[in-house]
Amino acid sequence: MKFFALIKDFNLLFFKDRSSKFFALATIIGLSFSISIILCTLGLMDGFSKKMREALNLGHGEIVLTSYDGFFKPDNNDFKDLKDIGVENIAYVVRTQSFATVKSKGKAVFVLGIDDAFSKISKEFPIPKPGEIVIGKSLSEGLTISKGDSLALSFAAGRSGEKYLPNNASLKIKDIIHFKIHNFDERFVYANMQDVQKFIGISNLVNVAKLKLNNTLVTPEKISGVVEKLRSIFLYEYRVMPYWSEFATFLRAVEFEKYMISIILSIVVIIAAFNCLAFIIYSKEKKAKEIFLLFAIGLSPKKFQRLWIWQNSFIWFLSFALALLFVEFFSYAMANWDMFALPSDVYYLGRVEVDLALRDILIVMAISFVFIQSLTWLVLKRLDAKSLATGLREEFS
Amino acid sequence: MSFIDATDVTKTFGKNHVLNKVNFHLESGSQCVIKGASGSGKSTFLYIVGGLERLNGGNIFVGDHDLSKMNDDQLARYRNEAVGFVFQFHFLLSSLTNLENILLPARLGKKKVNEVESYITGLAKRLGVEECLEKYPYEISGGQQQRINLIRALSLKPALLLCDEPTGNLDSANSEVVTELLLELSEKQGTTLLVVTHDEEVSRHFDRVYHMVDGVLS
Repeated sequence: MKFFALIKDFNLLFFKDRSSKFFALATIIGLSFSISIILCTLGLMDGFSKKMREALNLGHGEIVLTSYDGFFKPDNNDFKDLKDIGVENIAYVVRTQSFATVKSKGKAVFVLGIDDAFSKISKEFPIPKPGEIVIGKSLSEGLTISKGDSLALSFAAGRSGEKYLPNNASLKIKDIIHFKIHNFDERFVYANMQDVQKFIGISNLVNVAKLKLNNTLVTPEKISGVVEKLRSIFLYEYRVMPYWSEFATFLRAVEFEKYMISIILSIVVIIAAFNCLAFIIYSKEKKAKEIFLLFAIGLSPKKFQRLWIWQNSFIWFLSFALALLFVEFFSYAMANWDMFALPSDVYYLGRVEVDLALRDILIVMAISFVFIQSLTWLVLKRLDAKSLATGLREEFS
Repeated sequence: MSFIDATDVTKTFGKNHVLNKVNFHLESGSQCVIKGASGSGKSTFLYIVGGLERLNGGNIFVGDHDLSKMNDDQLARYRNEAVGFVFQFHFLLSSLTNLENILLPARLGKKKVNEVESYITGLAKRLGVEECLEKYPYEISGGQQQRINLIRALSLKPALLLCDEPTGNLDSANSEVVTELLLELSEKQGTTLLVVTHDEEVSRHFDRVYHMVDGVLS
C-alpha cells in the first residue's frame, strides 16, 4: 500500500507540470499507434484468411472428392458408412467448362450441374430446375443480363457433335447470387444436373462429390483430419481435398506474409518504445532537482527503478488499451467505408475484416512490454555517475 | 563510545585530495561545529558522514552503521532513518506545499505518515511556521523556508542532525534564531548535532569547535 502511495507522490512530483503531462500523452499516443499498426496488420491477414475460407465454404461443403477414373456413378456404395468419421451429407456434382454468350458478349465459365441433394450441403442455395441457371452477380453485370433473361451456353461435343460443332443450350436465369469470392462470382454458373449430363453426353454419371461434415468438425484442423481419414479409405479411388485446396497456396502465402510483415512492423513498435526512453531521459533531466533531493532524503536507487518500472507499465497499459480501440475503429472502417473496399479482381474478396487472435494480442503485448521495460532498466542503470552531494549543489544552486 | 567514529578518512576528486586522513569522534547527543574556509573540505566531510558521498579511504562508523561497507540502498535507508539534513539552500520542492515537502522523508521511509504528522504540526507550532504548512515554498520568507527545512530534517526524529551552512542564506536576525533552534531541539531530543559553517556568529554558540584546513581536521 505504501508503495502505491509513493507511486501517487511520484506522479505528483514528475507530472504536475503541463510539459511533462503533454510529453507523457504524446508517448502514450505514439506507442499506441505503433502497436495498433502491428495488431491491425496481423488482424487483417487473419481476417482475410478467415473470410476467404468462409466464402469458399459457402455452398461447397467441407470436402471435395474427384475420381481418378474421371466420371463415376453417383449412387455407388463407396460413400455409405462415412457417418462414423463425421460425414453428414453428400451431394454429387457434374463440373465442366463452357462458354456463356448473350447478345454480343461472351465469357468462359465453369458449369456445375446440381440436383436437389445439393440443398443438403447448402441450405439456401436456389436449385435450378431443367432449363434454368443460377449465375453470379459479377457475371450478370459483365454480360448485362438480369433475372429472367436467357443465357446461351456452348459445350464441346468432340466428334459427337454435328460436323464437330459445339452443343449449344439456352437457359433461363433463375437467380443471381453474390458469391463472396470474386472468381466464383464471375465464372461459376449452376445449372440442373440432368441438363448438364445431357449437354455433355455422360448419361447419369458425375465427376465430383461434395461432403458436408457435422458442425463439430468445421475448423481447418479438424477438416484436415477427416481428409486424411478419407484418403486412407479411398487411397486409389478418389482424390480427397479440403474445400480450400484450390486456394491453398494463396492462403499459405498470406500466412507466411503475416509473419514476415509482423517482424518488419516490430521495428515500428521498437521505435515507439524509444519514445518511452526519451520520456524517461526528459523527465530525469527536467526533474533532476527532485530526483537528487529524493535520493538525499532516503529514496533508494532500487525503489527509484521500481517506480519507473511501474510508471512505464502504466504508460504501456494505457497505450495498449488505446491501441485496441484504434484496432476496433480501423476494423469498423475496413468493413464499412468505401475507401477501404478491396479490388476484388485482385484479392478475390471485396471486403476484409480485422480478425485478431488472442494469441497474437498476447505476443505483441509481451514483446512490447518486455522491450520497454528492458530499455527502462538499461537507462536507469546508467544514471548519472554524479554523486548526490554534487548533484544537489548543481541542481539547487 | 563515540557515536560518530571517523578514522583516517580520505576523499579525492580526481587528483584533488579534499580530505587527508581525517580523524573525528563525537559522542551521542553532543553538539559541535566544524569551521573552515571555502574549499577546506568541511562540507565534503559532512556529506560523507551523512552518506551523500563515499569515502575513498579509512573507516567511518555512525552508531551501528559502517558507512564504508554499505551499498546504495543501505545508505539510502540510513539517510532516511538515521540522519536529518539541513542545507544552506533549503532544497524545498516548489511543486509541493511546505507540509508535503516535510512529509517526503516519511513517505519514502517505513514510518506511517499519520504517525509523523502530529509531531510535525507540534514542531511547526514551536518554530512559528504553522500557518506556512499549506503554502508553497515560494510564498514564504527565507527564514521561514529554513525553518521548514529544519522541520523536514527532524520529522523522523533522526539520531544525527547534519547542517551545512544552515544560516548561509539568512540575515543576522534569522541566523541567530535558527542557530538557537538547532541547539535547543538537539538538546531536547538528544539528537547529535554537527554543524559546518564559516560564520563566526554561529560557531560562537558551540562549546566544541573543530577547524578544517586543507582537508585536515584539528
